[in-house]
This record gives sequence, structure tokens and C-alpha cells, in this order.
Amino acid sequence: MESLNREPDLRVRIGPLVLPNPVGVASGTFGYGQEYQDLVDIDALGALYTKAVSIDPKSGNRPPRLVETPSGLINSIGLANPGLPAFLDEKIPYLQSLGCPVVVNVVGETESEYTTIVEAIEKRIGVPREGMKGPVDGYELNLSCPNVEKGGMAFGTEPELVERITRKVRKITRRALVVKLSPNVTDIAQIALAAEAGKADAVSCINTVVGMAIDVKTCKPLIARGIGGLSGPAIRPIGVACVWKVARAVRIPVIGLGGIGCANDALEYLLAGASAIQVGTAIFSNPRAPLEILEGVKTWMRERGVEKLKDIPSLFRFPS
Amino acid sequence: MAPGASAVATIPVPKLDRPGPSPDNADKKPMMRQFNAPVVFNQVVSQGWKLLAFSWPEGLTPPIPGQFFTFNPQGLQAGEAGLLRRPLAFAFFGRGLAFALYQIRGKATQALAAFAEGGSLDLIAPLGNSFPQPLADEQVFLAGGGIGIGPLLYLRSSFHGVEAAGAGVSILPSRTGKLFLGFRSASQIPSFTLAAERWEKQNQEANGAARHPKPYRQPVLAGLADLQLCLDQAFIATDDGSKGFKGTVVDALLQDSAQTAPIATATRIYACGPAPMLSALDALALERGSPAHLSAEQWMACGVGACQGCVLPARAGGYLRACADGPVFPQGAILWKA
Ligand SMILES: Cc1cc2nc3c(=O)[nH]c(=O)nc-3n(C[C@H](O)[C@H](O)[C@H](O)COP(=O)(O)OP(=O)(O)OC[C@H]3O[C@@H](n4cnc5c(N)ncnc54)[C@H](O)[C@@H]3O)c2cc1C
Ligand SMILES: Cc1cc2nc3c(=O)[nH]c(=O)nc-3n(C[C@H](O)[C@H](O)[C@H](O)COP(=O)(O)O)c2cc1C
Ligand code: FES
Repeated sequence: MESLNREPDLRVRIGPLVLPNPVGVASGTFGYGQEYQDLVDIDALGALYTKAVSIDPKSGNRPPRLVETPSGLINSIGLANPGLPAFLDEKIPYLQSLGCPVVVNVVGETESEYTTIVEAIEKRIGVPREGMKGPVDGYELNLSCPNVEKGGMAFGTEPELVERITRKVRKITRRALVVKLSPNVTDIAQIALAAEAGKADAVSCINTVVGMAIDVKTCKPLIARGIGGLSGPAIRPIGVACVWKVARAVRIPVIGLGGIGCANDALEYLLAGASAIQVGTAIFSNPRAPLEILEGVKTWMRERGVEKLKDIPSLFRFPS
Repeated sequence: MAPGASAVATIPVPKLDRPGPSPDNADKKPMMRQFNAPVVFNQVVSQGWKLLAFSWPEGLTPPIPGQFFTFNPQGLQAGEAGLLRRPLAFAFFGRGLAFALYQIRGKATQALAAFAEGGSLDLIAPLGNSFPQPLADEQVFLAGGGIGIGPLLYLRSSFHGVEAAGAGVSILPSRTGKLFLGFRSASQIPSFTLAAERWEKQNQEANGAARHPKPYRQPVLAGLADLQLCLDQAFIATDDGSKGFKGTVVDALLQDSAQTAPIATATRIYACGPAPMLSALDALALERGSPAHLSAEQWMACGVGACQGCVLPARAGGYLRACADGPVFPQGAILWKA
């Protein structure tokens, strides 16, 4: 093994979009960027995946919405967000000022809401120009949130629906199109194949795992809505296994996430077949985590003489 | 929800009768920063309560009363409740040192309690909004309940000009305020003087007759003295009557204001403590037509306004974030859980 004396090539292609490096920040854990601007060099990130955007503003679920569990966090935010009009008017100008690619996480209660949102954003920002970074560089369809009654996960569990929604959105945008998958299904590879058939540029997995915690003193659940979505280190093995299964099933890139807190965690995902990764819950405890992870991945590549990020999956020594 | 209604409630902008204590506060939020702070003091001040002091980084806007910080419970693994940072309010700031009063409750505060002086703690600060300053002719009531007394001590200290230069707080002339502090019992009441004496003794034993005093010795001792001064001026209430007024801090405040406040005087209320206390004071302020500023607690994940995890139900509908819209809310903003 030769060590590398030049910078490794960290670029990742997601359809028409080239990410400068593989480390993004996960939807819902980084707001729309501005909240973290004092703490993180946002321009240095591989991508920023925004908090979900829905058509109408959503106030979200009753509190308490959070509880820490062993190695995990259960949240029940309920996709609280300012809604499409406020996103267009108040968030786009800030996103435009960022140097990193921006992927908007989109959520709907009906199929047509997904297309309405993407259409409205496309109309506002115009057609993508070659090599230009826009205020929005792609979409991540959230077909997989466990925290709302309608939409979200219901869509994400039906392969035909996933394919149909993906295809419809594909028709209205040339920007990168990512479909986010839920681990709360029988066969995640089936859903990933449906997204690929619908012409998604990539899939991202995983969203949170359905979870519940109960206070035995009060005999009540610890979050108001009872069940929520579990994230953090507790779900990492689930995420790695999902990525491994999905990466073997589809030809499009897989973006891995779930419990990534350090470079080794990210490398597990990359070895399992991920082309890029996202960091979520770990940002809460250390906003510097994403850029520290990036440095760690680079060091690992240099030490092992790995020239290109996309060579990492081939280093996985496991007969398939 | 009604169509077109804004679900993500924006905070009803409190009419600032006067810009907040810091010039930075009026229009733009001061920068926050993640930094490693040298812990210079971490000592017991009463049963189950400790006081933390750490050195403030150069160039960072000092905290103002009502603001908080989050600490990373270093030394705890994720599997032992070490995943999320924990919020604590500032209890004082002066001479380059920030202070926080905390109760040892669960794993994270236990880990903080075990943190050695001299080590450095991963912090994000300053966070949240602050208490607006009162008008010159108002009678001011400050009420702190339990571990919620910290921010009120800091606010009170900013009134009477404790350490004007160091605190970064513009001091109003001879402002006073009646400070009411409620405790479960006398054993909970901190003694900053005793803590100072114990600390001095420890240092002498460690250093050999204090021949090499720590550089932070004077600022720590001065801060402790200022805190004690504030505490000594407070009206104390205890649930069990073991010291001062027997009953809640709200009862103590009611009794006093009935006796002393001329009806015509405008009053203003500041409070931090358990939800039932805030609920009672919110109702009281409404009844009297007094402005009130109530500091809330809620579980937090990010602490910076990004995750929407720390919300409280807003009276106007929707929710407000404790970390970014608060923690200080004006009278009428929150539906308190009584
Ligand atoms: C704005 C704000 C200011 C605060 N200021 C102070 C202060 O000055 N002094 C002080 O002693 N305490 C303060 N607290 C409360 C303090 O954050 C909790 O006591 C601490 O998080 C407990 O953690 P633990 O692991 O020791 O206990 P745990 O056993 O985890 O929890 C004990 C209780 O603390 C609360 N809590 C736990 N985790 C969190 C979290 N991530 N965010 C918020 N609350 C949580 C819950 O009510 C829980 O029931 C403040 C809280 C907030 C929101
Ligand atoms: C507080 C919180 C809010 C989230 N909001 C969203 C969201 O709006 N849309 C979405 O697709 N995923 C959302 N997620 C899921 C994350 O993007 C991510 O898939 C999941 O947390 C697993 O990654 P992690 O373990 O690194 O956090 C949210 C997660 C958390 C913890
Ligand atoms: S703790 Fe994340 S928004 Fe308040």
C-alpha cells in the first residue's frame, strides 16, 4: 500500500450535480443553513440538505418532541417548516449566497404536492446553467418520514407510488433528484429499484427508524406523540446494512446516512457502497463534526494511497 | 389549521421599552461561537447545586442576562446519555469570567460536576435572547424558583452596576429591583462565601500557602462576592418554611407587592423557574397590566434554532422555540403547562 502525496479526488457525481466532497449535512438537523452560519464553514461542506419544505406552513407536533435514548435520539418534530411561499421568499436568497451545493428536502401529503413544490422552486430559480451553482442544486424527496400521519412514509413503503412520484418530479426538473428511503420497510432494495425506475439520480438512506420510549414513573411516553423517529449511533448498523443492500441492487449512487459521528463511521458507509454521506444528529453535539469527518476520510485515503473517493467501495473485502 | 395562517409562529416582538442591555442586542444577534473554555471554578454551593466559572474567549460578545450556553457532556459516551449537549443559563459575568449555577440531576450534570478545574469544556455561547431592561420609573420584581435563580441573579447584578466594566453591560443609574428567590428548603440556598472559603483553602493546600496564586483567583473571588451580595439582598421563600417566607415565591411576591407597591406605580416582572410558577406570574402580570418577561425551559437538541425540537405552545397558535425565539418570552406569549 503506497501512501498518497497529493490531495485525493473527493468529487462525487449525483446526476448533473458534482459534489465537491462526500460529506453533507442531513435534512432537519441543519435548518436552512443560517442557524449554523456562525459555527460552521458551510461553504466547505459537500452539500447542505435543507429541512423539509411542504406547501403549507407546518407548526409540527406537540412537545416534548425530543428524547435521548441509549446512543440515540427520538424526535417527533412533525416536519415543522415555514411552508413553500416563505421558503421561496425568505430562504432562497440566503441559500443563493452559499458556496456549497444545496439540496432541498421536499415533503407532500399527496402526490401532486411534491410536483407543486418542485415546480414552484424551478419557476422561481429558472433553468440550471452549466457549471453554475444556483440557490438550489437538487431535490431530495422525503418519501420516508415517520412523523406525520399522511404522506411521508406511506408513500415510501409502496414501490409503485415511489416510482410514479419520482417520474412526475423528474419531468419538471433537470436538477439532481434524490429519493430518500425509509428503513421501516420489508425490503428497502425494492423501493430503491422503484426510485431508479422513476429516473432518480440517487437514493439516500436511511431516514429515522420508528422508535418509542416510556417513562416508567409517569407511565407515559417520553415524547408527546408516543412514537417518533430514532436517529444517532443506535441506528448506524441498520443504515450500513441498508446501504449495502441498496448499493448491490441499483446502479445509481447511494448516499448513506444514519448515526455517522466520525470518519470511521463514514468509511463504513463508503465501504458498504455509499458514494456520499450525510451527518445528522452528530451535529447537535458537535457542529464541527461534518468537516472533521471530511478531514478524517481524506487522511485515511492518503494513508492507504486511495486516489479517488469512488474507489473506496472496491476496497470492501467481502464476497458478494 | 386555517388556510393562510402562519403555523410557525413568529414571536410577537416584545415592545422593547429600551434596547436590551447590550448594544449588540438591539438589531442583530451577537455571534455565537463553539470554543474550549478553561474551567476555573467548579464547586459545591449548596445541597446538590454547584457553581461553574469559565474564562470567556477574547473577541466574543459577553453574555447578557437571560442568555444561555450549551456544554458537551465530555467523558460520557453516547450510550450513557452523552449524545446531546445540555443548556445552562448564565448566572453572572464579570472580569472575563462567566458563571453558571447548576443542579446535579442526571448523567450530564453529574459529568459536569465531576469535571476538574483546569480542564477545558466544549461550549457553544452566547445563545438565546435576553431580558429587556426596565424603564427608569418602573418598580421591578424579579422572581427565581429553584435552579431558575441563576439568570435572575445575573439580571439583578446588572442593575446595581456590579462590575460595570467587565460585564459588558451598560448600567442604568441606581436601578434597583426586588429579588424574590424560592427554594425547597434552607439547605438548597447557596452560599457563595462558604464556597469561596473552601476553594481558597483547597488552593492553599495544593499550592503551598498560595505562593503561586492562580491567575483567575481574584476574578473568581470577586465574582463570588458579587453573587453573594445579590443573594443577600433577596427576599427568600422556602416551601417548608426553614428560612424566610413559608410558601412559594409567587406568594411571597404577592404579599410584598400588596403591602408596598402604590397602585399607581408601573411594575415590571422578570421570572425564571418551574412552569407552574411562570404560569402564575404570567396570569398575575396580565391582571395587573404589567409587562413580564418569563424564561422557559424545554429539552433541546441543537440549541441554535435549527431542529425545531425545543418548542413551547404559543398562545397565538403554533409553537415557539425556547432556544431561538426565547428562552425569555413576554407575558401572554406562551401557554404554560400549569
Ligand atoms: C435555556 C435553559 C437554561 C437552563 N439553565 C439551567 C441552569 O442555569 N441551571 C441548571 O441546573 N439547569 C438549567 N437548565 C436545565 C438543564 O439543562 C438540565 O437540568 C440538564 O440538561 C439535565 O441533564 P442531565 O443529563 O443531568 O439530566 P437528565 O436525567 O438527562 O434530565 C433531567 C431533566 O433535565 C431536562 N433535560 C434533559 N436533557 C435536556 C436537554 N437536552 N435540554 C434541556 N433539558 C434537558 C429534562 O427536564 C429532564 O427531565 C436549563 C435548561 C434550559 C432549556
Ligand atoms: C430533529 C430531526 C429532524 C429531521 N427532519 C427531517 C426532515 O425534515 N426530512 C428528512 O428527510 N429527514 C429528517 N430527519 C432525518 C435525518 O435527515 C436523517 O435521515 C436521520 O436522522 C438519520 O441520520 P443521523 O443518525 O445522522 O441523524 C430528521 C432527523 C432529526 C434528528
Ligand atoms: S433546540 Fe433545536 S430549535 Fe431549539
